[in-house]
Parts: sequence; C-alpha cells; structure tokens
Amino acid sequence: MSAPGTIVFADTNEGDQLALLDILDHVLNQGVILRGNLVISLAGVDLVYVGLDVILTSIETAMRHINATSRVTEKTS
Amino acid sequence: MSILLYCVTEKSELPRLGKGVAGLPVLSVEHGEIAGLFSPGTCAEDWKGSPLKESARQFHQVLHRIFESRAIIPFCFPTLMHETPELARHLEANLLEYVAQLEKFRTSVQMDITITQADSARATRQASGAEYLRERQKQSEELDRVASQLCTHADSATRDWRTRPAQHGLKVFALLDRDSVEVFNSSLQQFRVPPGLGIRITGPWPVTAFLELRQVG
Repeated sequence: MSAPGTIVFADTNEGDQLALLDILDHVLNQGVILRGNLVISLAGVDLVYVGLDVILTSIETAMRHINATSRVTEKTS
Repeated sequence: MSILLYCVTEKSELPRLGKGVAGLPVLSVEHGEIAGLFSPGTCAEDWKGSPLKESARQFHQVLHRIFESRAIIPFCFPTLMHETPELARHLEANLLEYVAQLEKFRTSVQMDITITQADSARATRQASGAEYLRERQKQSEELDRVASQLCTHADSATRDWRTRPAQHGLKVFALLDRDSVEVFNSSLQQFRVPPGLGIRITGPWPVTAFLELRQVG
C-alpha cells in the first residue's frame, strides 16, 4: 500500500517487495485464462484433475497439502 | 510432462528468448502470423523446489523481456498444456482473435494506478448498518472522484481508461502509446493527492485490462 498523501512511481523491473506484489497480481490475475482440465503429476502420480481456472489460485495450497500428506505417509509407514 | 505457456505475440523478428521458469528454455510454436511462447518439459516438480513467487517472478521476467520490444498477450501463470501440438491447435483455432488484438494494441502499453485509502477500515467501525453503508458509499465516491481527476490530469497522454475495485481502494488502468509513458508520468507528478489517500503508479505493463478476447479455449 502506498503512503497516504503521496504519489509513488514504481518501475515494473525493480526488485523490491512492493513491485513483487504488483508482479504477482499481474501474472496470476491478468492475462488469458484457458478453460480446460489439467493433471498435475508429482513423482509419476497424477494428483490433481480440476478446471484450469481453479488451479490458477490453488497450486501453492495444493503443494503444501501434498507436502503435508507426504510427511504423514512417511511417519505412518 | 507439460508445456508452460507464456504469451502470444507476432512471430516476425522474435527477440532472443533465453531461459524461462526454473531455467528451462523458452521456445516458440508458430501459426500464421503469430507465435506462442512456452517452456517444454515442465511438471509440478519444477515449482516444488522454489517458492511459487520466485517462479512467478521468472515468468514475469520472460514476459518483460519480450514485451520490451513488442506487443504480447500473456497467459495467466501457470497455464499448462500437455504438448506442443495442443498449443499449435489452440493458436490455429484462435488465430483471428489473437491477430486482431495484437494489431489493435501493437503500440500500446498499460499503466496501473492503485488508489488506496489510509483508513479503509473506517466504515467497519460504524455503529449501525446504515452508517456503515453510508460510510462505504462516501469512500467509494471519494475514490471515483479522485480517479476521474487523475484521468483528466493525464488525458492528453492516454487513449482509454478502466477502473476496478481493489482491496483498500480502487485500481485504474490507463491505455497509452508506448512512447507516451514519460508524458503520462510527468503529468501525474504534478497531481495533488488529497489527504488520506495514497496513489501508486506501476508500468508499463502489457495490455491486459483492455483485451477483448471471446472465450478462448
């Protein structure tokens, strides 16, 4: 968020944290979205098969879930 | 294994494509006058090793490199297809749409203006529902008024405007010619920001808020 009362100009090529938020907003939320289905495969196992537009916002959560599941599996085996 | 899509652009005189996400090569598949840029051999493991935001930044760097010299239509990250022929079929099926948009925005860029309210939570502190709604309306009108003033201020440099509600404020997108960026920035440097508001301007970005693509599939 920019400071109150000021106008801030930011180059899209700069590496600061605010620019990163702008970059994430653009690459995740703006651009062409294809409708279709997708399989994410990890270690040769198909894990996710959902609409692509759902994947766009949930991949990091899916990865966290996969990692957590792997840890549980390792503990119980 | 899949291919990761970056963008569609005109195929003539493509710049050096270099490396993309996870150090993978950036390649192109061409159809008619357009090219689709992608990285081959990608799978979930490629993003598992580094945070998603790092992959997103690498994705942005590829787009930025191509966009420096030409118009592009970016895909959202991460958009995957199974194989290159699938991308070729997609380009063939949507050729006219892509060509029309690339032609329309060949010399255009987009600037993003984010207007934020220092105290955007003010409305939630109101005692009653009616007061909350009145406060929200007041805030919304204030943002619209400032957006309108900004548009007037930079009117000579811009071809079109769009607005969209954003967290804590309002997002304004300006469409302008690539060579008008400096004029745009300098005209807004003179803008007097009303008390309690913050304004952040980023760009130039590829044109995305003004694209008129029908359902692309």
